Amino acid sequence: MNTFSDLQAIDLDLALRVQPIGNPLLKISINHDVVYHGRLTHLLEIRRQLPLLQPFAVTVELLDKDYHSNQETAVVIEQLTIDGFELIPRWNHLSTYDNDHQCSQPTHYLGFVGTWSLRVDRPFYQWHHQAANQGMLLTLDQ
Amino acid sequence: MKITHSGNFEFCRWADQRTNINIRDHTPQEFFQTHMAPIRADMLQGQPMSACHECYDMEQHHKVSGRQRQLLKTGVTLDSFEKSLRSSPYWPAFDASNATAGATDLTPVDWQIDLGNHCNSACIYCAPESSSRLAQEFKKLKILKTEPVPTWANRPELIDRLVHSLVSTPRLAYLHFLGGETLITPAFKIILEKLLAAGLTKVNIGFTTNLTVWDQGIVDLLTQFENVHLGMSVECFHPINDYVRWPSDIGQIKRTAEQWIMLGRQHRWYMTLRTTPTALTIPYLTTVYDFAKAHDVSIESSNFLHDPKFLRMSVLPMQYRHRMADQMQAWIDRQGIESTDQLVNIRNPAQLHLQITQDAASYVDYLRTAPDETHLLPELVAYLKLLESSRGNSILRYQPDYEHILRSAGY
Repeated sequence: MNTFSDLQAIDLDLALRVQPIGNPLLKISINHDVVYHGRLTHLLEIRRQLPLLQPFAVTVELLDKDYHSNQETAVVIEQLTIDGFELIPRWNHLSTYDNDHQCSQPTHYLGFVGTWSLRVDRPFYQWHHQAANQGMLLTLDQ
Repeated sequence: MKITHSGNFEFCRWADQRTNINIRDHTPQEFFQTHMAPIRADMLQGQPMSACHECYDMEQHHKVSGRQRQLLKTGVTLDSFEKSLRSSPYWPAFDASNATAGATDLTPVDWQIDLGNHCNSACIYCAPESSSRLAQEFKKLKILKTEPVPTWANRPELIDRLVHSLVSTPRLAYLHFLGGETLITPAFKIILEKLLAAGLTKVNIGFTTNLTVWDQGIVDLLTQFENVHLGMSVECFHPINDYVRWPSDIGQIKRTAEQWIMLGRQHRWYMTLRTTPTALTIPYLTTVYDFAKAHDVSIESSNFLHDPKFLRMSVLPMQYRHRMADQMQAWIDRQGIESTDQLVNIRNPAQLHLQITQDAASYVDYLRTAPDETHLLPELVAYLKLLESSRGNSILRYQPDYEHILRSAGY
C-alpha cells in the first residue's frame, strides 16, 4: 500500500487446531458454516478466510459422550489464531462453554457434552484492541 | 492537536513543524478542518512527513513513538497497518477526508495545551519559551536571543475561545496541560474551573508537574474529574537531578512525588514519571525505572533529545556509551522479563514492568547505535560553564566520572 486509495478490502486468516482425546463426536462451525462434523481421530487443522469487518463466532460442540465407559473422551482446542494473533489458549477467559455439567469455567479442554464458543462481536481489529487492553479507542459515535 | 505557548496551533504534540496560525486569529476548528487539510492529504498520499522525523527516529531505536501511540487511539497499528486502518472506527472519516483533499468536518478531540513559561525551575535542557526562570537567567547572561512571545494563556478572551471550542467538541477525549510549571500557571486553574463549570468531568485530564510545588486548590479541582493522568517530571533519583533540573532538591522531589502518588492511588489516577534523558543523566536512568517499579507507576521518557544538540547522549565518547549500554542491559537482564511484541499502549498498568524494560532497551539501542556527536562536547562544556558562572555550582561535584571527558573538551 502506497496511498490510502490503494488500500484493498482484505480478509482475515483464521487458523484452528483441534486435538482429539479418544474419538469424540464433534461439530465445528464458523458462523453458521459447519466446517467439520463427525468422529475425530487425529489432529485437525482448519484454515478459513473471513471478511475483515464482519463479526464472527467459532463454535465447537462435543455431541456425545458415555461418561461411564469413555471417560477419556474429550477435545482440546489447541490453538485458535486470527492473522497470527493467538486468541486461544491466550484468551480462554473470553470464550463460553455451555455443557451438561454446568461447568462454566473458561477452558479450551472440552470434556463434557456441550458447546464451546468464542464470539467476536465487532470488526476483529476493534475487538482485538479491547481484548489486548490497548487503551482508549476513539469512535465517531455520538 | 497542540496549542503552543505563543498560541500557535500545531498538528501534533510531537511534530517538529512551526505554524503561525494563532488562536488570536483562528479557532481550533478552523485550523483542524482547513489548515491541516494539506497535511492530511500528504499523509493519505503516503508521503513521509518531515515534521515527523523525531518519531521516525524513535522507531528506529525500537522506542514507542508518539505517532504509534496516537494511531493506536484510532485502532491503527504499524504491525497490521492495512487491516487495522480499514477496521478503524475512524475509517469513514479517513475515507471522507481522502475524497476532499484532506478536509474534514470533525473537531480535535485529543490535545496538548501549552500554557506558557511560568516556571520556578531552569532545567539545563529547557528553553526560555518554556521557563521564565531560564529566560531571566539567559537575559542576565546576555544569551537571550529573543524575548519569549507573551503566552496566549495570559489573555482571558483567548482562554474563553479555547474553552468554548473544547466544550462544544463532541467526544472530547483527552487534554494534556504543560507549562512552564502547570501548578503555578494561573491559566491551568482557570481552565480546570471552566471545564468543571461546563460539566466536562468525563474528559481525561492530563498534566505534568515538576514536583516542586503542591497546590491544594488545584488538587481539589483535579479530584472532581473522573480520569486524571498525572505526569511527574524527574530525570533520575540521584543528586545530579538537582544540577539538571536546577534548583531542585532531590530529597524534596522524592517526597513530593510520593505525596502525588498517594493521592493518585486514592483517586485511581494514571501516573507516570516523565524523563528527558541527556548526556548528563543517562547513567542514572535506571534509578527512575527502579522508583517506578517500586511505586507501581509508569514511565514516559520523551523523544530522544533533539535540542539542544550538545546535551544529547550521543555527545558522549563511544567507550562511555557502550559501558552505559552494558550496565543498562545488565539491569534489563536482572528484571527477568522476556521480550515480546512491542507494547505500544504504554499506559497499560498491567504491563508496567514490560513497558519499563522496553523503554530501557530503546536507550541501550540508542547508546550503541546513534551516530557519534562527540564534536559537540566543547559546546556542552561552554554552555555548562556559562550556566555555572550564574549558578555557582559545578558539574564535577555531581558527575565526577565525566571529569576526563569534560576537561578534554575545555572544562
